Amino acid sequence: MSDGTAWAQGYALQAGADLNTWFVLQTVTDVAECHRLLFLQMACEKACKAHLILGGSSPETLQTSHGYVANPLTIVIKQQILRLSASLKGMRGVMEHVRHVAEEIEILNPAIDRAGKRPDNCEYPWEDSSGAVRSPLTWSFHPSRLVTAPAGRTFLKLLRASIEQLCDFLSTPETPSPLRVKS
Amino acid sequence: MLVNREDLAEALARKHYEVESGLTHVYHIQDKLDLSQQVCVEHTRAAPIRLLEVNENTVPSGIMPLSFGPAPASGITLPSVIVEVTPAEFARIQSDDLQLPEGWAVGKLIPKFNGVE
Repeated sequence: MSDGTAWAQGYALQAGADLNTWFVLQTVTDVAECHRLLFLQMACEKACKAHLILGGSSPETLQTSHGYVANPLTIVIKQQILRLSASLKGMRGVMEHVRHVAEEIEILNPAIDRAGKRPDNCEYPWEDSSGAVRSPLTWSFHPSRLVTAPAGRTFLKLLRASIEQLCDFLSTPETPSPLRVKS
Repeated sequence: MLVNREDLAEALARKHYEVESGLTHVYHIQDKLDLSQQVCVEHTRAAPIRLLEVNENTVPSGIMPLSFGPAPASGITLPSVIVEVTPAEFARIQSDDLQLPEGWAVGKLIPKFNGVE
């Protein structure tokens, strides 16, 4: 198997491309909310996995596992706050919001349902507690509301900057950051 | 510009305390060799700063070390590795029920405020 850096680079670049797609889809009115959020969820999961691989986690384990967002994403954003902010004033509120957003984004993955308590996800239909079948197409998701709040917009800026920075850190001239290319 | 590894680790930890209300304790993560023999400081000077953070607002997820590049503009001139756990997970680490990666050990506490835990 290739070394961890190559895997981390692969995940980081794909995270950047996924996030770009999410931003593009925000301007397309006939794309369902669940499909837009799918790209945000995938971007977050891959960015977290890139950092985990650099931290020593096995790429083989991460390839077949899910649920690596709630805890790692908050740390990724926290590091980015320190990187970008001259003043940390007001950042506690942002971090509290980020923690909430990260937990909700993790739940968008159909493999994560918090022991059956949160079957809502952005890919497959599910049965709610009353026995009714719900579809992602008609569901209103928490993250859509959370990312449009003021602290949510800060979260998006920090997420984009963190992926951009990671792509730059790992990129070679042959594989430039997709975020840099598109912006 | 901070150049000492311990100073850098403390500066990073204090910034984390500042932005995270749920952060109760931050510990250095040291090599087991460092703890037992107090050697290799020169050899590990460029190695990442490693912090174990106990956060009462996080979700239990086991040991997931996350690696970050240096942030020179913020005064953090070395790469860093952060492991965040819940207080319950930290208790499991202390009782050896939950293990840090091979060769890592919980080091000294970086207090929330200078000289005061």
